[in-house]
Amino acid sequence: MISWLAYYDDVIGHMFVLMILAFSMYVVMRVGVFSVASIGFWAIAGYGAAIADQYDVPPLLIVGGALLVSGVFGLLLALLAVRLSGLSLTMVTIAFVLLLQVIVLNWEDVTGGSLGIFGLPVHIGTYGLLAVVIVVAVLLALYERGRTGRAQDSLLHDEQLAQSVGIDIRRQRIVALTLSALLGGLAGCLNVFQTGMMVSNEVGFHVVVDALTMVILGGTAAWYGPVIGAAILAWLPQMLSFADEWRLAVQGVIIVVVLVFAPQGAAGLIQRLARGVAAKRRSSLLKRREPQDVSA
Amino acid sequence: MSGYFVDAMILGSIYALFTVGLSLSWGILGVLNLAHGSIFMAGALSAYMITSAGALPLAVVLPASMLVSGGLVVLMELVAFRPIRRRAANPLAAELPMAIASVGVSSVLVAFANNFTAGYSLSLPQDMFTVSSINILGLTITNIGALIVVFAIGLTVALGLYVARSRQGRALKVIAQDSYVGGLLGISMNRLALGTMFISGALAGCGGVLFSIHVNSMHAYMGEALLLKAFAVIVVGGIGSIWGAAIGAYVLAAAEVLAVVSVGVGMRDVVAFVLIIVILLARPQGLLSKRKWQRS
Amino acid sequence: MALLEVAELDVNYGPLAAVRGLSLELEESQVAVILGTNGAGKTTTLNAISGAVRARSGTVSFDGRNVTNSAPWKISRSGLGHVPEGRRIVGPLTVEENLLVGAYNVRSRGRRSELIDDVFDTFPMLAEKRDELGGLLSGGQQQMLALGRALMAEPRALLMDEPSMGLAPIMVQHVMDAVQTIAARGIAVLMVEQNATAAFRVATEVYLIEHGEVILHGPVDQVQNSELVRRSFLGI
Repeated sequence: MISWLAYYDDVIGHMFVLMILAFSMYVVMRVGVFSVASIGFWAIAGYGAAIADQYDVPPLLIVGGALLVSGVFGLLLALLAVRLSGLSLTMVTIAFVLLLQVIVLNWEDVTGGSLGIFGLPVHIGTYGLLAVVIVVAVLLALYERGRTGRAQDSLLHDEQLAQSVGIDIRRQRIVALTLSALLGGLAGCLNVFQTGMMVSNEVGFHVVVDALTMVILGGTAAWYGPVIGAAILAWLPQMLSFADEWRLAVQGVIIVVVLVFAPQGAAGLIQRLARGVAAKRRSSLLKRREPQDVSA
Repeated sequence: MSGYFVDAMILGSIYALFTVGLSLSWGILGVLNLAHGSIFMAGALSAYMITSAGALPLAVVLPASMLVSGGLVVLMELVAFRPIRRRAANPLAAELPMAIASVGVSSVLVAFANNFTAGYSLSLPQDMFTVSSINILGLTITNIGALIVVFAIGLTVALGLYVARSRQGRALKVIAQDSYVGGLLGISMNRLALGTMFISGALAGCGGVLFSIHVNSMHAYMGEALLLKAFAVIVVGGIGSIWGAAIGAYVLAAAEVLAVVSVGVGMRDVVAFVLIIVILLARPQGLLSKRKWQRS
Repeated sequence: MALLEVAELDVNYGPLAAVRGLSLELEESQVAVILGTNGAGKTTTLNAISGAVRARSGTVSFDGRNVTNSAPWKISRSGLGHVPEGRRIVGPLTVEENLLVGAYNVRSRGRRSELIDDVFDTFPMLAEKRDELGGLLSGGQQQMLALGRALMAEPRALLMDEPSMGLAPIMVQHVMDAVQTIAARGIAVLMVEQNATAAFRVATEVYLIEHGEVILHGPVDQVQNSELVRRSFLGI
């Protein structure tokens, strides 16, 4: 067991980083928004962390800075984006990521161009990442059980209904987009701390596909959706060792198949199963009680 | 000076070929096809594959490639968009899952292209089409450049007239406004969707083939950068408007050439993003779209 | 055999039953009205007949053919038109274009313009507005346009969902006159209404529905005198 953990330490650590990125996607998807801005903040924070690291800035300060920058830019983007509806909002976030891609590739002096920035110290291990994931997951779970979280549930199901019962969708979306930016930035920063490098691929198309695979596969029904999605994505390369070059294709097929056949993803299926079991138990309890009622 | 004009015309024509179909499927069917860049690339790639089987002239290769790229989008419609639309509670609820599914399809296409090209750039064979310089109205332009302009203007005008005048064109406008009423009037959304998707893909494929001859290169990600440009074009022209997309395409191209001339090459890809943000801040419904038919 | 036959129709929205075991018949050239309060399942019934909403069970047959859960466009093509609730005029199209769209499945250009002229003859009010945008018409004009649009498909029967909704009393009169004109051409009409007084002027058959079920059915002159209808719909 110990040797297995040691052998797969990198995979497990990366899985935790992916979980935070998945959380970042998840919080916006839950309010009925398809945004890929998470990947933008993942990239901004990643490059920011890598560059600061070269100047030996203390890691905690880097994390703080990454959160601050992501939060501020996230809020700005959110304020612009909530004026738009549905696909237009999606479009703006994609444009944002595409622009960053152009900047990263062209601003070679700072970003290292297509090669990226290498050979940075590793600041965080698997247990540290696990701790961060647990903290984030607990906070999200609490948030979901709170008033705001419940508001988002109704938002997911019916936008008009939510509005009619006095839920401020605009504010909800601003909160979700900003939170998503913070989590995306955190994930990007931790990614650099774990791997010791930042490459231009991390702004590219494949991160968008990764992020979507996680959040679609896991589903947005509950906080454990992205956890499941990230766990599967992290182990996908091990499972597909025969065809690493086809990984993108496999993920693409997964996205389409899940969307068509199980749109609620893994978390949705689990919830439905749990509900089914609960209903069955309830009905069997009722049945058992029936004779007593008759005798009484 | 006239060189810049020619550059802008060619660039704008590529943008137009690319964007018209994207805008149409978005405006009429609510499909933001994020695989559109990959379809553009697939057009070029299929031309490469066809010509590697045997020497053929462009007059044969181009229609064949348009058939392939159009067919791919039709396949997307059948495999992903239609099932998602059928399951959705209302047309609006299908928009986000369809956009996400298109990323999945794009991922499959990119993986295929990456494997086929082994990550390198390819160029189409010279014997398919020999590039040379010609003189038109005192302007020096390559024959492929002239062909791009002719195709872009010809196909856009033909499509614009068709949609404005034909029975099917009117039906498309109905579907775009109200698919429920379309059904009650005997209009089959599924059939029109197939036609719209085919045209959208074929135009992108046409652009892909001609563009890869023009720059003498093609690779797996060649369409991705165009997505950012297309978004700017759609924001200028209004979602779903053919004329708007055509005008927007040349406006963006002119602005980009102007930015390159006056500021420098680095500005080229920023123009599109700035246009998107500025226009959406000022007029979230798009620059050229109007709403005069709504009663106050 | 009746032109339109609905038998034991059930429609559910999720776990909620909107229509339960509903049966009705519409004879050739007949005008029938479905009365019911808000939420009784009237609109759902029409939508299920024209295929816009899935029926869970039961059958709908039109002109002797089973069309249960067929695609709306196929049902429309078979000669059963549907004038939807709230008219649903296509705002950015002109009056003429809106009419042309109604004749989507009429392939001949010549036939289409004959039909248009016919509609303009029947509803001269529309002829004056020929080139105006549909979205700019008044509610009553839009209702006329919706009726005209449905006529463009040369239907044998029309479903009409609350044609009088939100109209001034004088416009209600005009619309009901239009319905009568349509019926006089031999087109069967199945109309949903809340305005019973207006509907009874043109209808011959009445179905009263509540909670998705038919609770009373009969010819107008009999139903008119039933206590239930008098109290709930005629305000007497």
